[in-house]
Amino acid sequence: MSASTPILRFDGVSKNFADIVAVDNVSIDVAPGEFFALLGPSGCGKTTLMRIAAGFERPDRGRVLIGGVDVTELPPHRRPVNMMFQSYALFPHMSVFDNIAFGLKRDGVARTQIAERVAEMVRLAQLQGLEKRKPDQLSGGQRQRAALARALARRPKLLLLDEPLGALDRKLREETQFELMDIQKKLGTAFVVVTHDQDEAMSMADRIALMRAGRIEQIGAPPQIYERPTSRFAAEFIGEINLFEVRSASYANGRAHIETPEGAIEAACENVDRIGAPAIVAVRPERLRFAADDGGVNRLAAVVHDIAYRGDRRIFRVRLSSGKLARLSASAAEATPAPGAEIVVTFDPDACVLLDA
Amino acid sequence: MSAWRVPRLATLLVGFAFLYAPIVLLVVYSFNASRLATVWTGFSTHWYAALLADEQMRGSALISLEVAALSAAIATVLGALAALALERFGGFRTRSVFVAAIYAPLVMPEVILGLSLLLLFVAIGAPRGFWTIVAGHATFSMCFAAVVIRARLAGADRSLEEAAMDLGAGPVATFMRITLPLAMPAVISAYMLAFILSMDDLVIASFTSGPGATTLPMRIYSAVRLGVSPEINAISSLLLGAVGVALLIGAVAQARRTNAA
Repeated sequence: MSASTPILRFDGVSKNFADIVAVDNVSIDVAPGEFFALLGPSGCGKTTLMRIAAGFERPDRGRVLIGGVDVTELPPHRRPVNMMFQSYALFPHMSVFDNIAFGLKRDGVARTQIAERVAEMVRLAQLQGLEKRKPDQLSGGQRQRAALARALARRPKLLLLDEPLGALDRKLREETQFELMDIQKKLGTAFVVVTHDQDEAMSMADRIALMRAGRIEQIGAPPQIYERPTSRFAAEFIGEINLFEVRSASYANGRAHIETPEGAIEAACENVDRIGAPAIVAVRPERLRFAADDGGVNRLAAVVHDIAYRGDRRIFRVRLSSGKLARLSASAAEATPAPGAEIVVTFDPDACVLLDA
Repeated sequence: MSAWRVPRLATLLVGFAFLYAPIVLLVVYSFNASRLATVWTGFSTHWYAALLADEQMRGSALISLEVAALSAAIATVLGALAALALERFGGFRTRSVFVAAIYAPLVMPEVILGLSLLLLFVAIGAPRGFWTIVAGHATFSMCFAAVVIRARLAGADRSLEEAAMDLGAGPVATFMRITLPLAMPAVISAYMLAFILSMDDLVIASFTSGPGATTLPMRIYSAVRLGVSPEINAISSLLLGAVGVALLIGAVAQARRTNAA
């Protein structure tokens, strides 16, 4: 397997359940050692896609390749891939040790080697001293780590994780995110994570495939997806965003001059074709700021509506001249206008993203 | 609330009395010293001793136990396979027919089942006796076993089996290591249920038995036609005890299943 061979390739994969299209002509390449996230709202087909990779569902059309080998017709137990289940699926009648050793025993690994490998996995997942416990004698976090250890015990080159943090409480979730990233880096295993949580995907993944209704909406690194969404869905699904409706627009010198109900906006724009079609301008809340002086473009008059204190930041909702509420996120250190204050908000032309409405 | 205490307690007692007084009476009279079954003259274990000496009774008891043990084993294996087919093989073409075929004997009159079995055994020229009773009992208790095991499989977490397959276990290994151990409490319950059904059965045994294969219920029934003797009370009490133990084992198995889950 050369370095350029993707560890996992979906090639035009489609899957229907009765009349419902679960996965619609999806093609994705995941590189060896990559941390890849399948992100989307529930019912978008991300879990089905993962189950197709693991072999639990057969695609109606298309092929699945693991390490360059076509595995579309192979049953789950013949595929060189392991999966961590959302419910963890730890065997309740077996100890932690036997759970982790299960896959190794199936592979016919020698007994002494099994003991070594399990010990290694126990260290990796910080389960020391719990080897003899049954799954129902473990805490939620320990169960999660035991499931991870079991899935990694056979040293797969590719690990599928179905909502790996979904069952953990908020604080534990953040800790575990970093643990997962550490383990992934240490082992160099490619991780494909299914999640509906955009924060989780953004903070862990090297690349994200955003899915919607069985299709790939956008694939890219987290900053790319956040800063340069290619669709209204992508812009709205990830993070907060302000949308301005385009009434008319003209184009000159790499700048689009746009009329919106809230006022004139000047946007940096590479794609001239966009202008004219029903379009919107999208700007992230942290790119909005209070205008300090009278200069510059993109000046929108507004009244502070309310303020949400978030510790490190404040989220202002400001009412624009059209009556629409916009969000502005500012560092808590900045001076803060009080609710009701008449202010002007501004943003740079290159903070704008032009999208189809 | 407290005003209702007495009536509620009374209702409960009447209910239990209705259900269990005849059985208690049977057990009490099995310790009666009198030869007359219905006149109490004093405590005695005489009839239990007489029972031990009764070759015919002992022979029948042995036959009943053997038939129950064997037919329950066959019924449990077949029932487990049927349950597995219904719960794990997806929506195969004749699935609904199969479901109906499994459930029909549960509501079919035993007389009809017994008669049809008799006709079958006569038609194929099977000599009636021990093995035909075993076959008859296995046939109808298999359905009960299938229902019990199917309920367990339906409630089981599929992802456990998927996890086993994902870790390299083929279908057989997955069944032996995951599905079967997790369904074991239900399998034990099913066996106990089939065992009790076989021990209790009079109708089907009467139709399918032949010379030399008289089960305990058949022996008791024919003896009672000559008049109730305390010996019958004694053997009935023992039968009751055996069924009770089987029920207990089944219940304990079920309780352990709940704890394990």
